[in-house]
Amino acid sequence: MRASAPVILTLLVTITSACQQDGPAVRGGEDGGTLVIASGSDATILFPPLTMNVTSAQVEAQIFEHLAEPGEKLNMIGDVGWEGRLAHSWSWGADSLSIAFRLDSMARWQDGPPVRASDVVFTYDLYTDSTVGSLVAPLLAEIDSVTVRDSLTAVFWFSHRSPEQFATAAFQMRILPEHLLSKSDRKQLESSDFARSPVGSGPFRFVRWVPRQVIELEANTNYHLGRPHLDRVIWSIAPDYNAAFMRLLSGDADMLEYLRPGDFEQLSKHPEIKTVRYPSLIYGFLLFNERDPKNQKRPHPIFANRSVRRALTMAIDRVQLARSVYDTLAVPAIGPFTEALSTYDSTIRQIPYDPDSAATLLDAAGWRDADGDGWRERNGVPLRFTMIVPSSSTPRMRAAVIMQEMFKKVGVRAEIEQMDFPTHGSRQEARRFDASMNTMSSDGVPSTIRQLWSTEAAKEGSNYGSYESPRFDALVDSAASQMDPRKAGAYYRQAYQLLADDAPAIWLFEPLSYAAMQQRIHPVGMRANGWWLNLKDWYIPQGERIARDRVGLSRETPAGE
Amino acid sequence: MIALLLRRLAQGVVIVWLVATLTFLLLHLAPGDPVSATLTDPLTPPAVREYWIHRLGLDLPLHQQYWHYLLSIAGGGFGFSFPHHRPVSAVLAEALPNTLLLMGVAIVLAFTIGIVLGVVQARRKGKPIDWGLSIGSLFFYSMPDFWLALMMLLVFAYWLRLFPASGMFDPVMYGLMGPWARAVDRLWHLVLPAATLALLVTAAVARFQRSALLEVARQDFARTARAKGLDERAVVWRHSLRNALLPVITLFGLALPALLGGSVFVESVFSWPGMGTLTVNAISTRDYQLLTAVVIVTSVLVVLGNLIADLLYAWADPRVRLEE
Repeated sequence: MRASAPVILTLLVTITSACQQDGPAVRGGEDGGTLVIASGSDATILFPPLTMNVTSAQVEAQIFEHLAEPGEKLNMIGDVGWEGRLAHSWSWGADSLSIAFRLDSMARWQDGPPVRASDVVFTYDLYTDSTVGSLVAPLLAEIDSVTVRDSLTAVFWFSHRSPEQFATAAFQMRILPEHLLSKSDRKQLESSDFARSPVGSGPFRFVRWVPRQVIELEANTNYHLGRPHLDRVIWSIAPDYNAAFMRLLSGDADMLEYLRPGDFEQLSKHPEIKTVRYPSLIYGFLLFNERDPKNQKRPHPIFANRSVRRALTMAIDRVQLARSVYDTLAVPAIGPFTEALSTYDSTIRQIPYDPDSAATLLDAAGWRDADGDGWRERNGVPLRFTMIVPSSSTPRMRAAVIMQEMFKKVGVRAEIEQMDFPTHGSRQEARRFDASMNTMSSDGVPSTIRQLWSTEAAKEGSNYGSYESPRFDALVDSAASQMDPRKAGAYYRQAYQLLADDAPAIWLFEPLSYAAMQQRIHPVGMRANGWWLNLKDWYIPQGERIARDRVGLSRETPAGE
Repeated sequence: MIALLLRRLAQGVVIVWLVATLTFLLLHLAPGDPVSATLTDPLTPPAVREYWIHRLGLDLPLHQQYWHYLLSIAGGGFGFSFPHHRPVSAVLAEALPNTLLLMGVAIVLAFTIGIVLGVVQARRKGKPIDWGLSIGSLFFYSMPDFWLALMMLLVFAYWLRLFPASGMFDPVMYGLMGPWARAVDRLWHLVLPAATLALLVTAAVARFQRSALLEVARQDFARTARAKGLDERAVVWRHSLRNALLPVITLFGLALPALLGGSVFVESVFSWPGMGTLTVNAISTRDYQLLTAVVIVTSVLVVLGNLIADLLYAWADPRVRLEE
């Protein structure tokens, strides 16, 4: 049975003592304890250049390090707010075409040797080697070369200045050990032993990976920034959400990284479990295809018209929609970004919910209910379109059904076509759809908006709706070339406003991310670009520990288990 | 007997080839491919997608892909799984024993309990215990597998907390256990999924066994045995049961594909890392190589199951041997 919105609201208020925001990323707490994460998917590989799934990314982030990490505000322009990891400092060349990273002399690979600048050069060479096929390689295009100045200084040289060049150098690659990989056949790296039992320089070391069952890491007590508090972190794989939830409730697991709206009622009966909200980069939207799916050289008969897209946006009550789908666990989205993005701007003017004005705009565009049957048509062609929806996503399905009713009120016939997730993806890629229910997770880099909405990406890229606006392109180009974050922000604001006005999509909701965890787990610094990025700072107080927290380090683990 | 075996094996090879070919064709007709289904992030650069499509040979004409596919099967490797970043044979080698363990235990439980229940029902025909067991077996027989699995999880793992909710072993403490404790831990984790699968089949076995035994009990040899003064227990267990096993042996051949199908849901609910969950993942990632390998292995298992059923049939019924 689904709880009503007021019930959920009451429950949320009732469990406020258990529901909290996590603390800032500062060192503190006590060493020891085990964190068991109920994970919905297994890792596929533990080799950063080829990482394609979130569990792999979570595990790798504990084993391998970036040169530096963005601060809480996720600033990607310049180096303001960035914190050193493998590099403890850096200096810019006079012409800003080079950055020299000075490595922490205390940094060691987990098998003993020190981390050296040659490892950074090797890492760049490996990421950009076409035989490796790294997903990251195209993102490193602005790096001209990487050289060794001395054993602890690696210098990145750039072909041109760009505001995000620091992020590119410091944050796109996790540094790999040259001494363990230099002799490997690069084409075979993805199926190598290293890719399944890696050695890095990060706060946790690899212990074991039993495929589709468990991944275990333990504290690297020699970590150059101080040992992590937790002794062990275990990903306990449970692909079925109900099984994962049950593991949490039964105490077999300590944490579940996301919750469904209906779970809060159940959790209110478990005082030993708390919910923790963390920032998110996920938003949902209904994407309009502005090209005719049957012949992409022609404009779409409905959505190519800006007034019609605006009218359809006006027909949707997004506040009610977010409430109906997520109860109080989402807010209406205002654009292709969330509050966690550094360039977020809450003042973007929105197209209001106004069915009367929507009807007027549709009338003006020639879409009228001439025959009085309740549906609009033009020149005998009905105003009818299909929304493609992945059947695996309950929120998107619910949203589609509610929107169907809202469209109906202004005489627009929207049909729903459900399909499995890969089919939904391939239909989008092939541009064979009218409208598509989508969710998107930003990577935290403002300029990636170009990959989703620019004219160039409409021709060959991920602008599946084929929205084209030279003004938008120019604004984003200007923003992406500004070295001053404030000036860049001003350009991004104009670009966001243009997207809101042109309505290439209806911005629907921004789900709030909640994790559930046992009360004894004290999370620190959960970030929008990865709740797991500060796992080294999480802790379990001595007085709250249970049997599995007292196992300690370096226990014998039989091979093959 | 050897001729029967060889004929059945030859038929089996043809069936497996047909299944493999049909699977290959159907998969390639479905929208999507392993690369687009794995690299789902729209921010993935098109150049990266193209690189992997080329490297995996997905840009080759279909007949060439089919030829490479047949060669990889002939080599026994089944090709490379892009979503798993490993040879398919390595992925299968991990999952297959887990499914065989689960299915093996479920089959032994289902047929042992089912045959015993069928005998009890036949001997107590029309009595309350017969009625009770009939209603009970009908209840489980008509139950959807995924629903039964969820109910078992809810009742025994969550409410009563008698058994672990999922997995094959305790993810935290297993490494600290001695060999005996590990065996117990594994057994403990096996109980719920194996019992769920077994329950689904036990009901059918019991019903088949009951009616077969009642049918046999009316035949001349059973009447003769009774006339010789044998007690009812000896008549049933020594004379009637072997003859009444024939429909149950037929059911054994049919139970294998049913169990394999049921294991998809049961493994998923109990997070059992076998072929069932592997299949679900392979479908959602359009993992052509892995999925076709799973189908081939499954069809081999079914063919072998039917072969075993044929052999058992010949063992149980001398007339079959004479006909052959």
